[in-house]
Amino acid sequence: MNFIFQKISNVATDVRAHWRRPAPKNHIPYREMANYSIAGLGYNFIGLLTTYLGLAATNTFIGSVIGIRPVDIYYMNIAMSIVSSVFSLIRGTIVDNTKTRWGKFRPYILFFGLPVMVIDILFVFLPFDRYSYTEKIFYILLVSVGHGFLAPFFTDTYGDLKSVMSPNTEERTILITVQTMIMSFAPTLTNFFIPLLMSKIPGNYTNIYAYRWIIAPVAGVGFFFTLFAAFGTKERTVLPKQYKPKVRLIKGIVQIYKNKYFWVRNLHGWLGFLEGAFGALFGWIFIYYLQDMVMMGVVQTINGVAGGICILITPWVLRKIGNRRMLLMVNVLNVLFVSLMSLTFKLPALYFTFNWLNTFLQMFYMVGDPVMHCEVKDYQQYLSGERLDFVFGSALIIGTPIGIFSGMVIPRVYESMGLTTNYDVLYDPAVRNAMFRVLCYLSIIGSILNLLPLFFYDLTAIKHRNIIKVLKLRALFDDYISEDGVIPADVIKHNVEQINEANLLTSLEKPNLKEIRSNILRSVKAKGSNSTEKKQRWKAIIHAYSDLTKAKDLYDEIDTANIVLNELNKFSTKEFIVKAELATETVSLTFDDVLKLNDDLLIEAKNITRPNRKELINQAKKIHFNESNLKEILKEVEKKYKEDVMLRRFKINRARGLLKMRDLSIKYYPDGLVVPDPQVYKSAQEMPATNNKERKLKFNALKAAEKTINLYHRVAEVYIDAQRLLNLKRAYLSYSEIATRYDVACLEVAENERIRVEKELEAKLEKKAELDRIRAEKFAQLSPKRQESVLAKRAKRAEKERLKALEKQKRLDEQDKKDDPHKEETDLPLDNSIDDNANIIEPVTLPVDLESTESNIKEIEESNEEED
Amino acid sequence: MKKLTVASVLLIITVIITVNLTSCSVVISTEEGLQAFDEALKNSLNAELYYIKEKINDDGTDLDYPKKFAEIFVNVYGEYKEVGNDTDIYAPTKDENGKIKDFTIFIKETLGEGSDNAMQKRVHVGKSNSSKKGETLDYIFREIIKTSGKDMDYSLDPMSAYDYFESSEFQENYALSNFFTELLRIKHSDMFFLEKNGAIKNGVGVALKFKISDSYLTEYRQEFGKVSRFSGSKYISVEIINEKISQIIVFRDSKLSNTDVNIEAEPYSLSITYLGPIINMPKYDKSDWYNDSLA
Repeated sequence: MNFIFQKISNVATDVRAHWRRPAPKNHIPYREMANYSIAGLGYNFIGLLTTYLGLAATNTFIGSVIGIRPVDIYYMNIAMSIVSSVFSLIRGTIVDNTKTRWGKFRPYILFFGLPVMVIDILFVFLPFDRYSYTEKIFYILLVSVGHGFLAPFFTDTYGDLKSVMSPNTEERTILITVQTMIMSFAPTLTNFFIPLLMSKIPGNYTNIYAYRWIIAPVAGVGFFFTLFAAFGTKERTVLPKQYKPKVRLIKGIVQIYKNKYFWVRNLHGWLGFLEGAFGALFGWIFIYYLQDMVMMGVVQTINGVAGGICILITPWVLRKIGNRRMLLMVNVLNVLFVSLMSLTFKLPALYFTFNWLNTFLQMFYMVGDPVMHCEVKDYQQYLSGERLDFVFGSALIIGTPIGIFSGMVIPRVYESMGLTTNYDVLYDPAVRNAMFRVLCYLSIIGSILNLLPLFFYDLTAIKHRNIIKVLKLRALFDDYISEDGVIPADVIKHNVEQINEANLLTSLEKPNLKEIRSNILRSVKAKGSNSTEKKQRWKAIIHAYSDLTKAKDLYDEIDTANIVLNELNKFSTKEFIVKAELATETVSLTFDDVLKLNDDLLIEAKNITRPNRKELINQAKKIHFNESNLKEILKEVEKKYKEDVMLRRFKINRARGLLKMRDLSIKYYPDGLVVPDPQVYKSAQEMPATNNKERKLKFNALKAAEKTINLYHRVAEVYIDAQRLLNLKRAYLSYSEIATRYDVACLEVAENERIRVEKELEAKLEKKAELDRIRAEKFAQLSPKRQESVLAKRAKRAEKERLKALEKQKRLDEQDKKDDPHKEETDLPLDNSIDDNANIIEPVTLPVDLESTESNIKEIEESNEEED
Repeated sequence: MKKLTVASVLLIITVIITVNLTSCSVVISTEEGLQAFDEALKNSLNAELYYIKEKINDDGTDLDYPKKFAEIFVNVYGEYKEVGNDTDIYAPTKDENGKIKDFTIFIKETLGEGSDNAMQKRVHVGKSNSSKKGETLDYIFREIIKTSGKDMDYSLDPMSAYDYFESSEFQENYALSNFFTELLRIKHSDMFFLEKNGAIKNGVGVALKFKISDSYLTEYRQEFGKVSRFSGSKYISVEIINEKISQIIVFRDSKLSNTDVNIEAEPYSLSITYLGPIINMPKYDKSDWYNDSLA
C-alpha cells in the first residue's frame, strides 16, 4: 500500500512540476493533455444526443417518439450513406488544404461545434407531434444532411488533433492513455445517471421531453467541454523526412482483392448483420417491459464493468492462445449465450446475466478484431510488398451493396412483427415477446453464419510471426539498397538469427500428431478402478493435451519456417528468374527506345498460350506410378500452372506498363524524362512559416514538389519497379556477405545497449535531481516547525530502511551458510564501495556488465519511491 | 479458396435479395381484407385493457374542420398474465369477484388550441399509496393545467377505477367503443380499397387502405349533425396487428409548410395497443401530489 501511495505521490509531483511546461524531451505539458482529455469527455456527452439523430430502427427517438417506420428509417439511412460519401470527399479536400496560424484541426473544433449543437438541439425541439408523416421525413432528412456535413468537421478533427500534438510516439501513447481514462468517465456517468433522470419523466425514452430536458442539456454541457481542445492545445506539425508517393487507389484495391484474409474477415463482418438483431432487446426490456429506468442505469453500469475487466485480461488471453483462437472462442461462446438469451428474455435477471457474459465476450472481440485487421494488413504487405493502410477503407466499397441489402432485413422483420409507426405495441407482451423470440432466433442464425468464415482464417500467431520475419528481412534488404550497403547492426543481428532459426526448424522432424492424439484417446479410455488411478488418469489426459498443444505449435513452427527461407531464396525460383530477366530488359531501354515501342508488344504478350490446368492434370495422371506419387505430381503440376499463369499475367502487365510509359512520356515529358530532385522537397520542408504569407508559400512549394514526384512515379512506374527488382536481387544475393557481419553486429548491438542503459540511467538521475530540487524548494518554503517534522519523518524512514537492509543482509548470509556451511559470515557495511579490509574494486569496462547498471536503475527507482 | 469465397458471397447476396424482395408482404383480396377488418373490430371491442392515443391535427385547409390541434391519451391498465405456458397469449389477472387486479385508468386530453388558454386535462384513477406508510386507497385525481404553466386546478376524491370506468363521463368520452364509432358505422359497400396495396398481409399485420363513399359522409352528417372525420380524406389507412385494430390514420392532400410542395397530411390518427405503460399514481396524502406528474 505504501508503495502505491509513493507512486501516486511521485506522479503528482511530476504532474505539478510539468503542468505548464513540458518535461525535458517532451512536447506536451500536462495541462494540455488534461485539456485534450476533458474535451474528449465533452465529445462523449455530445455523442449521447447525436446517437438519437442516427438513422437506425432501434433509435427510440426517431422510431418511438417521432413515429417513423423501420423500413423508412433504413431507406433514409441508405440515402445518407451515399450523401455522406460525397461529403467525406469534399471534407477531406477542405481539411487537407487548411492552413491557419492555429493549425489544421483546431479551427474546426472551435467554429463548427456551435452550429452542430444548434442543429442537434433544435432537432429535438421541433414540434413533431404537429407534423404529417411526410413532413417528419422531410425534417429528419434535412437535419441529417446538415448534421452529416458539419458534424465530422467537429468530431473527426478532434481525433486527428492528437497526431499533431507531438511528434514523439511514446508521448502520443501517454496522451491516448490519459485521454481514454478520462473519456471513459462519460459513459460511466451517463449510463447510470441518465436513466435515473429518465425515470422522473413519464414514458422515459418514449417521451419527447426526455430528450429536450435531459439529453439536450447534457450535450450542451459537453459542447463547452470541447472548447478545452480548441483553446487549450497546440498543433505541432509533423512532416515526414522523405516524401513517399501514394499508392494509386485502383492498383491498391486490386492488390487487396487478392488477399484471401481480406475476404475472410469481411465475410465475417457481412454475415454479422443478423447477429446484432438481439441488440435492441436490452433497451426495450427496460423501456417497455420492466419500465424501470433506475434498474436500467444500474445494469448498464454493471455492463460497463464487464468491459473494464475484459480489457485488463485480454492481453493475457492473446498471449496464451493467440488472436485466431480467441476470436473462434468468442464467436462460439457468442452462439451459446445468444441461445441462452433467447430462452430467458421473459426472466430479466437470467437474461441480463447472460447478456453481461456476452458483453464481456464482445470486449475480447473489440480488441481481437482490430488485431485481425492488422494481421490482414501485414499479410497484405507480405503479398504486395507495399503498406496499403489507407486503401483498405476504399477496398471495402465492394461490400456496400451487401451492406445495403443485408441492412434491410432487420427493419423488415420489425414491420412483419407489428412494429410500424406505433412503437407502443411493444408494451403489449403478445406483440413484444413474439418479436423478441424471432429476433433472438435470427441472432442465433447470424452468430452461426458469422462464425463460419473464421474457420477459414488460418493465419495463426506462428504464421503471422513468420510473415513479420519476412517483412523485417525485406526491410533489411531495403536498407542495403537505400543506404549503399550500410545496415543497422540490430537489423543484421535480428535477421541472421531468424534465418538461422528457420534453418534449424526445417531440419527438425515434424512431430507425429496422429500418435499424440491416439495417446489422448488411450488415456481417456483407460478407466481407473480406484481414486488414485482415476487421479492419475486425469493427470495423464491433461499431460497428453498439453503435449498435443506443444506438438501442434512445433508442427506449425516447422511448417511455416519455410516462409522465411522461401523469401530468402526467391530469386532462385523460376518466377523471379524470369522477372529479373524482364526487368533487366526494361532497365536497359533508353528514353528513345520507349518512345519507339508499338502496340505489338502487348499483342505478343497476350498471345502467350494460356496454360490449361485440366490438360496438365491429365498428362500427370498418365505418368504417375502410385497414389502418393500422383499426389506429389499433382502438387507440382498445380505449382507450375500457377507459376505459368502468373508469368503470363506479369508479361502482359509489363507490356501495358511500357506502353503507358510511352504515352505518358509523350504527354508530360516531351523533351525527355526528368527524375525529380529529392532536395527540392527537402528545401520546401525547411521553408519558414512564421506568418500567413510564408505559410502559403511553403504549402504551395510542398504541393508542387509532391506533384512532381507523383507524376514521375506515375509515368515511369514500370521502369522504377524493374529497377527496384534488380536492386533487390542484388541485395538478396548478397545475403551471405551480410551474414558475415553478424559477429561485429552483435558486438555493436551490445555496445549500443550499454550506451542506451547508461543514457537511461543518466536521464533517471537527471529526473531525480530535478525532483530533488523541486522538493528542496518546497521544503525551503515550509515553516520551521513543519521542516522539523519533515526531517524527523525522513530520519525515521532512513532508520527503517537501514534496519531493513540489515535484515536482508542477515537473511542472505543465512542462505549462504545453508548453501555453503564453511563460508564465514560477513558483516558488510551499507556503503559497499570501500572498507578497511576490502580490495578496491576496479570498474569493469568490457564485457559490459548490464546487470549492475540495471540494478543501479532499480535502486534509484526504489529511493524515488521511498522519498517523501 | 477463391471459388469458395466467390460462391459464398454470391449465395449471401442471393439470399438477402430474395428475402428482401419476397419478404413476408403479400397482397390479399378485398374479401380477405374485409374479413380481417371485421374480425379485428370485434376482437378490439372485447379488449379489457388498452392504451389509446388519438391525435387531431387539422391545418384549416378543410372548410369543415378549422385549424385545431388536440390529443387524447387513454390508458386502461391492469395486471396481466400469460395464458398457459409459453403461448404469448395474455389476459388480465382477475380476483375472486371477476375484477381485474390493479385496475388503473389514466387520461390526458388537450383542451383549446394554440393560445394562452390552451389547457391540458389529466385524470388518474385507481389505487393510490400513502406517502406516510398508511393504507392504499382508491382515489381519483383530476388536474387542469395550462400549458403555459400558469394556473392550475386540481382535486382528488375517493373513487375506484371500476366506478370511474362505468361512469357516464368515461363511457361517453373515453371508452374504446367511442373511438370506433365511425368504423362501426361503415358498411363494406362504403369502403373502396386502393388499387395499389389496398390490402396487404405482412407477417402478423394486415394493412388496409381505402377510400370512403360520399353516401357514407352524407348519411353520417344527417344522422349525427356533424361532419365525419373521414370527410375530405384522400384515403384511410387501417392497420391490424394480431387480429386487433392497431392504427387508423386519415390522409388528406396538403402543402408542405409555406411551400407549394404537395404532401399527405394526417389530420386524424388513432393508435391503440392492448396494454399500455404502467400508470404511476400520485400519493393521496401528499399535499403537492399534483407536482408528481410531469409531461
